[in-house]
Amino acid sequence: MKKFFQKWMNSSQQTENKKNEPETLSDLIDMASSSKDFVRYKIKKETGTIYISYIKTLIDMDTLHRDILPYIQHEKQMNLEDLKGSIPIDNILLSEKVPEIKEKLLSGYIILQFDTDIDECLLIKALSASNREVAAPEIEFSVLGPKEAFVESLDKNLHLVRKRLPTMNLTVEEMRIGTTSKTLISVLYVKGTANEENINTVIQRIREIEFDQIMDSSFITQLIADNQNSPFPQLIDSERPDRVSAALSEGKIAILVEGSPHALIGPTTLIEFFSSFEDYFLNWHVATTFRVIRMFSVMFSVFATPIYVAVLTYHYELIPKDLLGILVTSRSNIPFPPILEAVILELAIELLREAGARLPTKVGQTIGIVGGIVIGTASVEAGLTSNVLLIIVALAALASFTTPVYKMGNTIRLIRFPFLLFAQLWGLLGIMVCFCFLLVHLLRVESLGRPYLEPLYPPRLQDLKDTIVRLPFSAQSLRPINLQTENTKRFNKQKAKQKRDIDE
Amino acid sequence: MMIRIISLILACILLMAGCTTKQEILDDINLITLIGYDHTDDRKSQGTVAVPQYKPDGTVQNEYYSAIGEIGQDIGQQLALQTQRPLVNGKLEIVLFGIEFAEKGVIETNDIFRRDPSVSANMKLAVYDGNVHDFIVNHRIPNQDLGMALTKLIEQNSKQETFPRTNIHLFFRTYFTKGKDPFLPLLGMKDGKVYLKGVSLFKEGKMVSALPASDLTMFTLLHSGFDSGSFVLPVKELNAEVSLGHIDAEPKVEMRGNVNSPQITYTIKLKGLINEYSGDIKGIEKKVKLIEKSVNSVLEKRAESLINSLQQQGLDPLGIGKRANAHYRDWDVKEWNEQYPELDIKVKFQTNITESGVIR
Amino acid sequence: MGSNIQERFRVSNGMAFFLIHTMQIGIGLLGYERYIAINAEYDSWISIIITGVSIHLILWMMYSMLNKEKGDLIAIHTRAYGHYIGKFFSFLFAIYFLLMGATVLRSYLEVVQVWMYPDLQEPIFLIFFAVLLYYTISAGFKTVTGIAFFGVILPSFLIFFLFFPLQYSDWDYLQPVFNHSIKDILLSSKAATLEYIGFEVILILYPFLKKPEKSQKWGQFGILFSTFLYVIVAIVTFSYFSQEQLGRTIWATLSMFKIVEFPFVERFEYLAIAVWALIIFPNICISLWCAGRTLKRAFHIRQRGSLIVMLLIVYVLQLLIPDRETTDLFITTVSRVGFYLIYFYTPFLFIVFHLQSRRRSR
Repeated sequence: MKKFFQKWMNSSQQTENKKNEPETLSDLIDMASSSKDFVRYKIKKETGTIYISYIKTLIDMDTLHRDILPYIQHEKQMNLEDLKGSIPIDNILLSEKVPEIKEKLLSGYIILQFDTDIDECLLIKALSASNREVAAPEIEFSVLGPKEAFVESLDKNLHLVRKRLPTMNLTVEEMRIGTTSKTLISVLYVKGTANEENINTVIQRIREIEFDQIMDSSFITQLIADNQNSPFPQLIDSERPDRVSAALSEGKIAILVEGSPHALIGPTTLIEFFSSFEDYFLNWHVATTFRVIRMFSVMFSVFATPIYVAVLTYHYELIPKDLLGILVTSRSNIPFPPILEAVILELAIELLREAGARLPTKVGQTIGIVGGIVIGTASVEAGLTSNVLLIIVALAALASFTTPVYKMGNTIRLIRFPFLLFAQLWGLLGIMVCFCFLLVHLLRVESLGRPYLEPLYPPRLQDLKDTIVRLPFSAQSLRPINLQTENTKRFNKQKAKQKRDIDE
Repeated sequence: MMIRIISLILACILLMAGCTTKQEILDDINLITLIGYDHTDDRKSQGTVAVPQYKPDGTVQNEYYSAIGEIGQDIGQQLALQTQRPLVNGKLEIVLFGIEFAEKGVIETNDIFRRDPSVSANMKLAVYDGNVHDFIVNHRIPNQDLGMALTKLIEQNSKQETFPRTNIHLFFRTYFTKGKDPFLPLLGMKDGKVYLKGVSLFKEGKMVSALPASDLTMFTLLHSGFDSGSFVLPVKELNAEVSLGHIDAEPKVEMRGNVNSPQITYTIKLKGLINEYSGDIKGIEKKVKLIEKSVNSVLEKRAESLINSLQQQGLDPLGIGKRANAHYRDWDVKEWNEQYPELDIKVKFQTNITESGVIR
Repeated sequence: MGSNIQERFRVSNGMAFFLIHTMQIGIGLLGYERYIAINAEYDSWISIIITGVSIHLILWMMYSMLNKEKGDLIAIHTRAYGHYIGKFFSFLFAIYFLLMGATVLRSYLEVVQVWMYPDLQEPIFLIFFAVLLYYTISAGFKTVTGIAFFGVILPSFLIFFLFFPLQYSDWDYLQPVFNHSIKDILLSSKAATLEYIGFEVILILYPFLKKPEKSQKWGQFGILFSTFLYVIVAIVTFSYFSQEQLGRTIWATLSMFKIVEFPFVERFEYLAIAVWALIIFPNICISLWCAGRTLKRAFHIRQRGSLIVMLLIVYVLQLLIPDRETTDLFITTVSRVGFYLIYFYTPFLFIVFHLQSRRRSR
C-alpha cells in the first residue's frame, strides 16, 4: 500500500516535471503569464527597452516603486551590469539558469531583462514582508517570563533564537523539503554541545522526507517520528523562543519551519512533556510541587473514569462503607450501566471541547459555560448520568488540560478510552492489562533513537534532577545523559558552589 | 497489513467480549450488611438478612428477608426467591448469632464466610442475647443502615478500650490457637436500644458462658492492655471515688518454674492521671501515694476474681496458655488443659498516677 | 561465542538485579507461607535464609561457568558435552523455560478466578494477554528488561501495606524460636527453594549485559533482596495468622491485604491482585524470551516464529488444564524440575564443564 503510494507519487512527479519544466526564459514567461497575478511590462528608454516581470502577490510594491523604478527610468544603462550597479539594493543576482530564475520568481524576486530572447536576466529580491508582529505566546502562556512567541516568518524566528544565544557555535542548517511546497526548513543546534549522532539523525531523516507539501512544523514531527503509529508525540513543539534556546544550549536540536510558528525540539522524553517552561522561572520548591501536581493530574485524568467503571461494574467490595450510600444514591435512577454512562459523559466533554475550539473565542466561551452548566445539570436531573461521575469526568477533563504541551493533552484524553474499554471487560484487572500495554508501548517508543522513558528507564539517577522534581539550578551543573552531549558540563559546579565561611 | 489484520481480530473479539465475565453493577445488587442466625428446632436454623435501601432522596431504609433452612447455602437459595436483585456478601458488616444458636456452635456457619473471598477480614461477629430475627425486624433506627450501626457500636467500644479488637479474622485466629479460647461481643436490648451487654465466651466454637458488662473494662485490660483507657474506682481508705483517665497499661504474663508446675504472674504497669475525684480536692497531691495503693489492691482483687472464675469454667480467652506455649519449649496442650483450672495465677498492679492537679 | 550481541541491544549491569529478582518474586509470594510452614512451622523463616544462602552459591557457580566461557548456556553445553548432546540439553532448557512461563500464568489465573472472577472467560482474556506478550517480547530484550524493571519498581509500594497486618501481630506465635529439629528446618528449606527458581535465566541472558563479568554483584544483590522480602513477609504472616489458621489459608499474603482499609478504598486485596499482574508479567516475558533465545542459539530458529508457536502452546496449555488439582500437579511438577535443575544439574554441569575446559586447555 505504502509502496504503491510512493510509486504513484514519484511517477506523477516525473511526468509533471517533463511537461512543465521550461527550457528558456521566454518559455518561463509564457507559462507564468497564464496566471493572472503575473505582471510583465516594458519601459522604453533611448538606451533600450527594459522588461520587468514579477508576481505581484508575492512582491513588495513599495520596494519596486521606491527603490527600483526611479533608478531604471532616470539613468542611462546599457546592459544588465550597469543596471545592477545603479539599483541601490543588495543581493541582486545576475543569472541565466532557467530553473534558478523560476525558483526566484516564485519566491518574490523581480526579473529585469533587456532582450527577451536571451536567458540572462537580473533578479532583485522584493519579497513582501507581510508578517504579523511578534506577539505573546497563547498556547504556552506563562504568567512570568518573556512574552514573545514565534511567528510565521522563519527569519524572524531565527532572529528570536539567535538574539538569546549569541554564540558562534549556534549552527543553522537549511534545506528545502516538499516536492510542491519547497518549504524552507532550518535545523538548529549548538556545535560542540549537541551530539553529532543526533544531528545526523535529524538531518538525514528530514532529507529523506518524501512529501508534496510541508505546511507546518507538525508535518515534520509526524514524518520524522521514530514510531509513526504511536499516539505519543515524539518531538516537543514549542512556540516559545526562550524554551527553544534553553533546549539548544542543553544540547538538543531544534527544527524551525518557514510559515510555522512552532519550533520542534528533540530528542525528548515523556516526562519533559509535563514540564512547563515556567517551572524554571519559579524557585525549585514551587516548581517541583507544580510538577508533582501535574503528574498526579495526568494519572487522575487517565485512570479516574476507568476506575469508576471498573469498581461500579465489578468491585463493589472496594467501595468504603461511608461512600456506599452516596454512590448508590447517585446511581439509583440511572438506566444505563456505568460504562455507557461514562462514555456518554466523556464524549459530551469532548464535544464541548471540540465545539469550543472551533468557534471564535467569545462564542466558544459561551458554549463552554452553556454546555458545562446546563447540559451537566440537566442530565443529572433527568437521571441520565450520576452526579458523582459528572464530578469525576469534569475533573478528569480539567486535569488533562494541565499538561503544558497541547499535543500531549490530546494524547492523554485519547488513551483514556482504551482504558475504559478494558475496565468494562475485566475491571481492575483489565485496567492493569491496558496499563501493561501502555508501559510496553512507552518502552518501545524512541525519540530520535533515544529512549522515551528516560530517565525512568533506563534508570539514570542523575537525570532525575529535572523531571518530576526540579532541583535548584546549583544542582543542574551537568547536561542530561540522555542527550549524550559532547560537552557534558553546563557550568563549573565548584565555582558556583563556593561558599564563604560565616562572617567573612 | 499485519496491524490491520490484528486490529480486525481484536474488533471481533471485542464484539464477542460483550458477554464475558459476570458483572455486579453496584445498583443492580442487594448488599447484605447484616446476617442473623437463630436456632429454630431440631437441625434447622433461621437466617435473617438486612439490606439497606438507599433512596434517591438520600434516606436509607432497611429491608429484611428471612428463611429457614439447614445450612447456609440452603438459606441463601430460599432468600434469593424473595428478592428482586441478587444478594451479595461483599459488604457484609456483621453476623449476629442468636444466643441459642451460639450455644449449638457457630464454626460451620462462620466457615462459609471465612472461605468466601468477597467477605472482609474485618467483618464483625457478635452474639445477641435473644432472638435475632425479632431484633432485626423490630429494631427501627431511622435513616441508618442497621448492620453498619451495630459495627460502629462495636468499633466504638474497641476504640474506647472497653472491648478488645474483634473481627472474623481474630475469631478464627484464636479458634485455631492452642491455649486460647475465642470470645465475641454480646449484644442486648435495653429500653428499645441495642447495647454492648458483655463478652460471650466460647469453647471449641460453642458459646458456654458470658461475662457481664461490669467486667468489660477489666477483661479488655487483661486481654490487650490500654493505650488510653479509663477506670472509675472506689478508694475505701478515703471514702471517695476516683476516675482515672488516659491510662497506658501493658499486661505482662511472667512464667516461672517448669512446665508441670508453672508459677504465673500477671504484671500490669498502669500509668494514668486523675480525671475526677469525689472526695476533698485540697491536698490531693499528698494523697496520690495512698490512692495508688488503694487502686492497686482494688484492681488486683477484681482481676484475680475474673481470672479465677474463667479458670473454674476451664476457659482461657486471655490466652495464658498461648503465652505458656511461647515460653516453654515442651508445652503440651492436653497437659495444660488439665492443670489450667488449678493454676495459681497472681496479678500484680503497679499504678503510677502521673498527674493529679488537672481537673476537667 | 555469545559476545557478538550488538552494543545497542545490551542493557546495563545493574539490570541483572531486576532481572533476577523479578524472576524469583512472582505468584509464589502470594501463598508460599503455607508450604514452607508445613515442616518447620513458624521457625521456617530460618529455612528461607538457609535456602537463600544456598542460592547465592548456585548463582556463583553459574557465574563462574559463564565468566569462563564468556558466553551463554548453549556455549557451555557445547563445551561440556559436545555438539549434539549439548544441543539436546539446551532443548530441554528451552522447554523448561516455556513451561515455567505457562505455570506462572496458570497460577495467576487461578488466583483471579478464585478471588475476582469465578467465571472469567479465559479464551478471550488469554488472547489479549498473548497479544500483549507478543508485543512485548517481539520488541526485544531491552523492552523485556524494561518491563522487569517496572515490574519491580512499580509494585514495590505494596510492601508498605504490610504495616496494616502488623497492627494485628501477635509475636507469641513465633516463640520459642528454634523449637524444631534441623531436619524439619531443612525440609522447609527444600520447600522454600521453589520460591527462588527462575534465576536460571541468567544463563541465557548473560551475554546481553554490558559488562557481564562484573554483573555478578548485582545478581547476588537480587537474590539477597528476594530473601529479605520473603523473610519479612513470612515473619509478618506468622505473626498475623495462628499456625493452624495459616494451614487453611491458601494465599496468606493476599489474605493479609484483606485487613487494609482506607477512607477511600476498602478490601485492598482486589487492588493487590490487579497489581500482581504487573509482577507476573515480566516473569512470563523473560521466560518466553529465554526459551526463544535458547532455541535460536541452539537450532537457529527465528525467534519471532518460535515466539508465536510458544504463545500458542501456552494458550492451549492454559485451556487444557481443567481443575485445581491438575493445576497444582502441573505447578508442582514444573517447580520440582526447577529444583533438580538448580541443586543437581547445575553442580553437575559445573564439574563437567570445568573438567572439560581444563582438558581442552591442556
